[in-house]
Amino acid sequence: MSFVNYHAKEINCKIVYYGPGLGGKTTNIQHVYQKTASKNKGQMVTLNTENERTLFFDFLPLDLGVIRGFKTRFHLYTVPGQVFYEASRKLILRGVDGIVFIADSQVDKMEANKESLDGLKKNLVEQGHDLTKIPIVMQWNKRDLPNIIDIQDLEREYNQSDFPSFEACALKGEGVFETLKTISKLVLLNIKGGLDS
Amino acid sequence: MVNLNLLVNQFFTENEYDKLASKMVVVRNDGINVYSNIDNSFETSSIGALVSGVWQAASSLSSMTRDQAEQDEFRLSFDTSLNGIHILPLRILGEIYFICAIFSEEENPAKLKRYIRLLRDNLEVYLSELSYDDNKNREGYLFTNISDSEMDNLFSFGGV
Repeated sequence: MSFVNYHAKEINCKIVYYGPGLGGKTTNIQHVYQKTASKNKGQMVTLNTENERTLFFDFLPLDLGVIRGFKTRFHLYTVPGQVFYEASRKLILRGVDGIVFIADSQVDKMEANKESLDGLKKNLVEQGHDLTKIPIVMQWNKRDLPNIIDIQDLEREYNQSDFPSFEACALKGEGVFETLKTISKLVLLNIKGGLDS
Repeated sequence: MVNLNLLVNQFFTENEYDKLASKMVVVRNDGINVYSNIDNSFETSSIGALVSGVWQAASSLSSMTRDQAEQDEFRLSFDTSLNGIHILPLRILGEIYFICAIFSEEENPAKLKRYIRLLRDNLEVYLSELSYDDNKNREGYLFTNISDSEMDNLFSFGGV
């Protein structure tokens, strides 16, 4: 749940990158980290296995700047994508303000995408979220690979709710900031609490 | 009405609790920081995320064996006889927060942990006696619209 400190005029929001294993969640955040000036970011925290698969989560605190007098800090998290880390994914989703779902565009990842998306919806509902109200952005990653599914098929299969979506090649940085910018705007517009109490 | 962060800050500084350990933070259960004696706010954010994560993971693990009613009695330590971390849950208006102390070269960690427990109890009493703005009475949305140029400005640091 976002937190607005009206005294210090600060907004804190939590965005979670969700999706199947090896889909590019960590790569997205790494690109944001690499392309952001030092004064706008903290250290990227990674809790990995020995072979650099996400074990618990990645975390990147990011200062986006000031909007209408409010300093904005976004807390970017990734979940571990591997199937058997379901309990960790549930924990990381607590208090989430917005989701970026990173789908792997490769043909042989269709089933993994579906399983992860179904798990996301189930976990959000379990935590009391209304799927029609929480901001979600879809990213079709790995568009540079040869054996990929058509965008229309991805949209039809995974995006029946017509969430904003972006093609991406996170390794090259393509689509990464466009995705983050869109989810950030949706999250900011979804923050409850007017200026008067 | 007074701001919660401000009240917690005053409580720590006026009682000099901020000097108890080299790093002290109070975070919400989703990792958002409420108080810190650390100058670097990014470091504070990272500590908040880790404190929340480690507590939730330990809590889930312990729920496999324990009585849920004991939840408020748990504390979490990862330490040696000199250095380490100590985390305690804190209840504010029915919500769970955490106090985390990170200490180094501490001559008597047991004594420090006792002080932090007392601090936690005092803070709960202190906040229960005051009224403050927890944002729950605010209605509507903070922003009704955000222009593309405002978003461009936010992301002017790179990428887009």
